Amino acid sequence: MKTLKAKKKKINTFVAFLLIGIFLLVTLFPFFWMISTSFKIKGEFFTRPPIFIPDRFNFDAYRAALRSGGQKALIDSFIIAFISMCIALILGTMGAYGLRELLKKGKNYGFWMLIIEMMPPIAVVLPLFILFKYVHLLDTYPALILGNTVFVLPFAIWLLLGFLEDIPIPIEEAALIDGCSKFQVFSHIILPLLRSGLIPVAFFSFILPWNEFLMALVFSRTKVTPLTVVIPSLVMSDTVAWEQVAGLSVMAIIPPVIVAMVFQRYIIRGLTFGAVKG
Amino acid sequence: MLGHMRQWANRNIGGLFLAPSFLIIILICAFPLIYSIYMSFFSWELASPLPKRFIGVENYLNIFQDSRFWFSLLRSIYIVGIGAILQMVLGFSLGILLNREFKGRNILTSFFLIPVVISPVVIAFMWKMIYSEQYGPLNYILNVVFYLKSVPWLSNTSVALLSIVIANSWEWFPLILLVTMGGLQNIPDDYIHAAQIDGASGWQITRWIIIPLLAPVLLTITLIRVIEDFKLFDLIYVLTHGGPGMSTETLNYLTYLKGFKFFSFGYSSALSILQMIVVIGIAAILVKKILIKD
Amino acid sequence: MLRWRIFSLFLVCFVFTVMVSGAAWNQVRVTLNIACDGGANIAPFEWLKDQIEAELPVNIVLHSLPFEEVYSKLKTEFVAETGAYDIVVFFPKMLGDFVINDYLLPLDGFNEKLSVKTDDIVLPVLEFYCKANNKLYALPYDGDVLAMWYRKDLFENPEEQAAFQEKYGYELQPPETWDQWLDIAEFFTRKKGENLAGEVLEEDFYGCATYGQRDFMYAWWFNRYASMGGSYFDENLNPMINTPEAIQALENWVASLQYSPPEVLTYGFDELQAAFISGRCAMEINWTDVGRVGSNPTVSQVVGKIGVGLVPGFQLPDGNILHRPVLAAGRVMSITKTCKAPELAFEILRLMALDASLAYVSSSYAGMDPFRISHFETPEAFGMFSSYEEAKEYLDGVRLNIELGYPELTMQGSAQYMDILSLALSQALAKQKTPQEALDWAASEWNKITDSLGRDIQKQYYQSLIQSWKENGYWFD
Repeated sequence: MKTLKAKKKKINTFVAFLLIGIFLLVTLFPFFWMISTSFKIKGEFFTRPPIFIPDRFNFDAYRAALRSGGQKALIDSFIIAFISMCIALILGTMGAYGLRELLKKGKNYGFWMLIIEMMPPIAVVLPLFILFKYVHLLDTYPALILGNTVFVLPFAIWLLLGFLEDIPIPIEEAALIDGCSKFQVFSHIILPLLRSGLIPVAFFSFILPWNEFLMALVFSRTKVTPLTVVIPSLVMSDTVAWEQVAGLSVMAIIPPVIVAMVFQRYIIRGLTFGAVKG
Repeated sequence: MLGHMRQWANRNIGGLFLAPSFLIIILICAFPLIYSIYMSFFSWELASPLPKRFIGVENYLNIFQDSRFWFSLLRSIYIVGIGAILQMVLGFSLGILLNREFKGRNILTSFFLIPVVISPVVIAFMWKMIYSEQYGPLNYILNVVFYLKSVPWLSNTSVALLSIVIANSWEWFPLILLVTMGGLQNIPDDYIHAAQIDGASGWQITRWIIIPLLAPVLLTITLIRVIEDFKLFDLIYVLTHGGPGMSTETLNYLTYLKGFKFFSFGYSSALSILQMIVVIGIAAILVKKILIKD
Repeated sequence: MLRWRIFSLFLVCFVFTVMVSGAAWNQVRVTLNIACDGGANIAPFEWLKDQIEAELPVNIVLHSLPFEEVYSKLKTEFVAETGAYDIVVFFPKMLGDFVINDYLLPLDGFNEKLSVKTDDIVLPVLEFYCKANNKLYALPYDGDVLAMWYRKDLFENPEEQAAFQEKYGYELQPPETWDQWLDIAEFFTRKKGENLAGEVLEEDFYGCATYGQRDFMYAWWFNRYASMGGSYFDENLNPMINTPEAIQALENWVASLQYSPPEVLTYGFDELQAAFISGRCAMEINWTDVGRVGSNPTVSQVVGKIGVGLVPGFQLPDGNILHRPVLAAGRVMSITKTCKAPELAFEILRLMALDASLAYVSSSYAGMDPFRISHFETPEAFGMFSSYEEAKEYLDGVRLNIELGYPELTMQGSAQYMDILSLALSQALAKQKTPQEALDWAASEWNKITDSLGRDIQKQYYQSLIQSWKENGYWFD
């Protein structure tokens, strides 16, 4: 009886891990393919059968991609993402706290932030395009930063509201009774407690602009060239520089992947938090 | 004087703190929305030197009469619907599978996190290479390992939309996975042990305990995914450009085409307002379901 | 005391020199931004960049645009008015939009001072693609035209000739009319294992192939329709795309599909060319690259077997055959209104369109095609062919087509009109609608577009357009 159950469990476990393995394979294969492509030389693309592992680690693609605007693209994307992140962190925490203060009666105002997410991006991009044109902001960093803030800031506030709920009100009340001003409560009590929540917010408010495409496509011209626009531009009329596309893409995903894996616990918490509380 | 100011600030700290955020949100979020609604009542064609002119609801009437709009709406719903099912099934199953203690579980989970955090544009290019009919690894594997014929992933009108759904679901199912895992952690072990003692099988436990308990959380994340999938753009732009033919022209993509390919700003604005109404409508239905479950 | 005075004098001189030289340096070198679609099409600019920068006081910055995005990106930039581009290279079908919205500088003044030898430019290209409202707005960069490519070896094979004569009752020759095209396509479509010109086929072989992608497929229909006297609109701006002849032309095209590879409706530039030079089909209508690329043994299976001829036409009542190969795509260069140094920009255009043009249209690395009469009369420059005769044969064939070339619709709104037309044609080709239904729908959509763009303005522009067409013998009465 016992051995039968044990055997069943073993088979179960084996099947489970087999399935997990398949999931892992499917999830990671595209990355493998892209990285392998980034090391290929011209003759190794359009082959039948396709070449899975190129002969050598050839970094030409990376060099070429950096030369054809990749370098500026990385820098531009970084500037936009970083400043957006700062804005989201500063204004987001203040905004979330302020919102909670104003609306103590626990109504689910976080939900209203989601309404903004429901707006189709074109509804935002078109008017902003016209607005930015009139104030001569097109093809500048502020245009892309502001544009990204439209979607990033409400998302940040929504996440932070979830984290704020975790902070028990008695702690704040105790501090107030002890004679702290509300501002001091914010800076000395709330902020430190919020620290673990700030990480997912920082992460997402950096990643979303870094990966954003439509606004980059419409607002940028020659002075500001984010990554997401430069990569497709490597696709010319009849010749696609696939190895450069792959190379630049690999460079584009390294920051998010590394940060995600290092801070994964906090990020997972952030994601599940929003969903569970939201 | 300063004391008074400080007191006032203290009392109204909520408003003070909220003000800058609020201002930006109003300016940058509400303004575009209001301006879009305003533009949707005009005929504004930038191909022509004519200035924009007020035409009332004519844009909307034209849209309703245009079969291209209705088909694009159908395609959007297809992507959202099938995508939601695929993501849910994949994410949930993997969540259940990973719900056991073993070494390296955290690292494994973080691997699954990767598709979620990288740019959809990059994902689109990855899949473009993989979907290549002649030279891509996918068809090669199908041929050699499964002895199946090559599939025209991106060049056949009946298949292209599905290809997009597959790539999109690959990108986002980890989100459902994470929520599932988070939710599973919240289920007290006693529930499950009690059920096992009572002789329930794994399937029964999943069906009758886990799913009901996780339902609210899963519905919430599905709501988020539905809203996002309506906005799907990057994949379509890179993989198919709306083609072959019109087969991957979703409502969102059509709105972009009308706006930035044909420069009919009025018509495009009207389309985007309609899209918003559709999304809010579907979201409202889902929210009602969530609230009922709660 | 004296030392201080000398020192301060020296300082003043130094500062003055720096300022003057700085200002002089700024005045001397201007940065000009050139936008063009990328890859092989921007290559000539890349090659000549150093020469231009050596001869003229300019710094050139090249911007490669993705092929499908040329209109989007240029139009967005013109609307945005950020002055990002000084010289733009674009497809002539956008000319109307750019001219009527006043984005481009007229070039007649510059041309008078520094001639670009417009008489040497092939007539249709000059009149229809470079001029608007009788003024010169652009200079040619690429003289695209569609031509007929066929397998000489198959047509010259005696067995095939005999079999054809027996089956169809007339001599086997490269088709001159569209009906003959269908006969010959049917004749040469054979399955794997059958005999073709004395050899057994290892794969299915097809009589013809066609372009299928949305961006230019309408040109393949217009090859047929224009030779029947068809056009885009009539004189009063009523769409002419659903006349009985239009339907007939579309039916001919649909009929040719059964003799084409099964995936032909997905064919773009690369695929269509590959179909011919890899030896899968006997004939095709395509751009002129087929001849050049097809003579390269490393990529072509049909070296030495390529014949080029006039695109088939339609027989008129008086017995003559009217041919109207479409000048599909093409590229022209213009100077934007926001250009900071128009004279210098014009000198660059002149260099490209005149002095350097022979070199890059005869190169196998750039995708550009000849557009000057002098190009066609210099076969020796086309080194990719193995002999002078081959080059001359190629050039003569292409020249026949370009001199009769039929223009694309260059009027504003062309992007929308062609998009609808492509959709309608695709639906007819995919048998989702009958030709009549498809074209009727397209015509009604065209009317809607015309109305939304302002019927009067459209009419005005169109009439000035066909005025030029009439003067050059392109209007069918």
